[in-house]
Amino acid sequence: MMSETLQKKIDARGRRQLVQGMLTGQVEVLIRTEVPPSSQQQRDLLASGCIVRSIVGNVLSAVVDVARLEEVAQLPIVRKIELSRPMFQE
Amino acid sequence: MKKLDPRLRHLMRQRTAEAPELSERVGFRRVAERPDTVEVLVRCAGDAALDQLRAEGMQVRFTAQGAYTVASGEASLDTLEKLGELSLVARVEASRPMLAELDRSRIETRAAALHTATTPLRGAGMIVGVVDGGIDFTHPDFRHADGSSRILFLWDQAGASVPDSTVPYGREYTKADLDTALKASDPFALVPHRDVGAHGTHVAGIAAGNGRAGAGQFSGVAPDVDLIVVAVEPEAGRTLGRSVRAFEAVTYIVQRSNGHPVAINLSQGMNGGGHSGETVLETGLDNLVRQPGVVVVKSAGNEQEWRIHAGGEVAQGQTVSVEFLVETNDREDDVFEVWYEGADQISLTVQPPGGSPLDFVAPGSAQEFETVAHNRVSVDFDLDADDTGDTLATVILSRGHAPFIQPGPWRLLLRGDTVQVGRYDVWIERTFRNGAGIEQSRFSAASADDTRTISIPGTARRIITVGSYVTRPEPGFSPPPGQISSFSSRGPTRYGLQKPEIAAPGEVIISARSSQSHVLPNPDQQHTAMPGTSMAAPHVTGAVALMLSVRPDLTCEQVKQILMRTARRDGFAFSAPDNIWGNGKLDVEAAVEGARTARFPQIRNVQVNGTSLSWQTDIPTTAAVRFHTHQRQLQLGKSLGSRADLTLQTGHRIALNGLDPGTYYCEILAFSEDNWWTADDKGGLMYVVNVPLPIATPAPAGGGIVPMGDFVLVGGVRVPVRHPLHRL
Repeated sequence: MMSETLQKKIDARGRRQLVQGMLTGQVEVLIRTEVPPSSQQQRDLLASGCIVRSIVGNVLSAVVDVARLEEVAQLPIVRKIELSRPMFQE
Repeated sequence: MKKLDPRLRHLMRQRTAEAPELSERVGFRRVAERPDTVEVLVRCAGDAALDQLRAEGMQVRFTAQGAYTVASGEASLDTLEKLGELSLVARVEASRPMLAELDRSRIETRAAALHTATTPLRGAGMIVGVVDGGIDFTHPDFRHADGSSRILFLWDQAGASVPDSTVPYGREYTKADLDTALKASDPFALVPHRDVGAHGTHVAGIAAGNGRAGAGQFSGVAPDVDLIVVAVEPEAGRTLGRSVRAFEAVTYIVQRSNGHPVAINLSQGMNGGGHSGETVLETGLDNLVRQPGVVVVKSAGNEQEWRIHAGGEVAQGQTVSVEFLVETNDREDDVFEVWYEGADQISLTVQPPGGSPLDFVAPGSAQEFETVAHNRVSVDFDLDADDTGDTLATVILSRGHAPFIQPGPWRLLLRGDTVQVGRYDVWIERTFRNGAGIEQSRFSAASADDTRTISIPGTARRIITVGSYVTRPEPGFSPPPGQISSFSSRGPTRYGLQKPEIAAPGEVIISARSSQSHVLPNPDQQHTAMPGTSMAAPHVTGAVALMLSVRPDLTCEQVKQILMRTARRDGFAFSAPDNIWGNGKLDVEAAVEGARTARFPQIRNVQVNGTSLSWQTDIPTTAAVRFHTHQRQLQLGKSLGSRADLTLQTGHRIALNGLDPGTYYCEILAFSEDNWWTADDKGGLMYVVNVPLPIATPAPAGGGIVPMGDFVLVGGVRVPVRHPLHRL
């Protein structure tokens, strides 16, 4: 059962994928935080299961176990979790 | 027959114009009441050569005499046979279409003038980053004269990892790795990276090819730059990577640039998002380009003819119907994003072809339905989507228990339950378009809105988004030369900000061809022709590299101002600035000159005292403050109002008097006498001004919220003015 917090922080497409079990294992995400995360906040992200790959200001890319998305969403600093989307050549 | 061009031999074997396009490519012409003819160039020798050609039936038009004689003219297919048998004829060559060559677009964009100047400017010492499907690292255009690589780093995100890898996935190759491979008999045995799709090689060639695969006629805009390339992992024929890895690709390029100025090209996109820069991807890119010397250039998108946007207004109590068409054999989910202002309450439902509408779903709720045809429809709301205060309703059609989504006209119904604003926008997410069994659903012609089609992340506020125009049309397909490409996506953003910023040649461009691809060689094995805003963007990327070579401290925002200010508005671009052309056509020479001379003010020592903001500038400027009660909307470029002071000075103070009590987020702007501007938004956090409840103080003259561009206070006097503020 998805918490209200996770529901709010992940978009409808992501919610659907989670509810329908379309996501397994690890997922790549972009996370927008309230402010650029401090060292402690970065440790909190790591402790919640976020393997952070890059940080640019208040946006970071990371890999998270699907089962731990809930933990990540509960962190107060996390404002938005955006699942990776396909892109197309132009 | 050996003397005849293979194209001519092919035509003679066919003897009919069954494939007009092919015939046209070999110069075949059919004129009423005359034998079919072909335009040819004939190389021949001997005093009587021209007379002989005429005697055999060739209509000679022009000649050039030298060691050989070359004659141009027309000949019938029968005459061709005879010409081939003449001993004085060495070669008969078919006329060929001259498609837009990179040298032509270099001339068109005035880059060529810089390359051939007394002190040539070719981008030496600068870096161009390319995020794409890959690159043919063996191509001569990406190698120095000594054969070594111009690529500093190549991150193949789909490559097999190695222990102690320097990248989180895939495989990284350094210049040393590439140089070693290039010396080997089989370079791919050492660096097994191939650009099968050919797109990345072509893009890189436009921005940075040095023309060594030829006589220099196909060199790029910045032919002496170094390259850092990230090859994303495409699904063959379907996608070009995914958004998280595209973001990581861009950050990787900045890291590997190690402080050197870098212009990064992104020629890929998607349609999902609110189209005002609110996706996390766009926020991340905007963050990245705050630093000097880092510029991201993105293609506008080729969505203009796909009818992927619908928009309009719904009134209180009204139901609006938006029709979209589902193709046959559509197995993929169709995703629709409906965006509207949070002040409104608009319920949604879907009506299948020939069926009744499903139940309306109210904002804040979510529901799933099964249609009579056993498809699934889900409607799910996000209030305050992406912290914008706006509402997003996501509608997903999936085939459910049926083999396909029911083909035909569906309807999206929007009911205005409570309406204060009424504006809505709907986008259909990009999906697989294979040309044969096209699965991309689209709005009907009656429902589609041809504005706001810029692909994501092109609506990010700070990056530079590039439209495409025609330099040489593809016969039967393209608009006339100089016209905007029919596929070039248009702005504005959902919040009304202008996009694209500029247009560049994108139809049709010849550039480097990957030897590992199957794309048609044109005009030779090392080059090929492609159209798209993908081709337009790297013209600007190369231009940016040249600009940074004379002013490495420029920010993306400053580069953008210079490009826009120096854009040409000739020919069809006379309507610029607008959301089709941006500010007009790229002019590289003028942009570089602008980079040399532009002086941007610096904002210092910002203080907030009560309801006033004060600051200094290093040079005399006018001043403005944009404000909003919603921080995120202001970050995305939407303001509630502004205050401005047109006095040119270095000390500034603007008071937000007369506003309703509340917390206001503020962005400061300084405009030099030459109208170059600098914005300070406190790193995105915005300056915060709290307007308290009034304690019996009279409202100042002109009090109340000042609409943007409406009037300004000059020495306390209300003055109507058209301020450049509205362009930002």
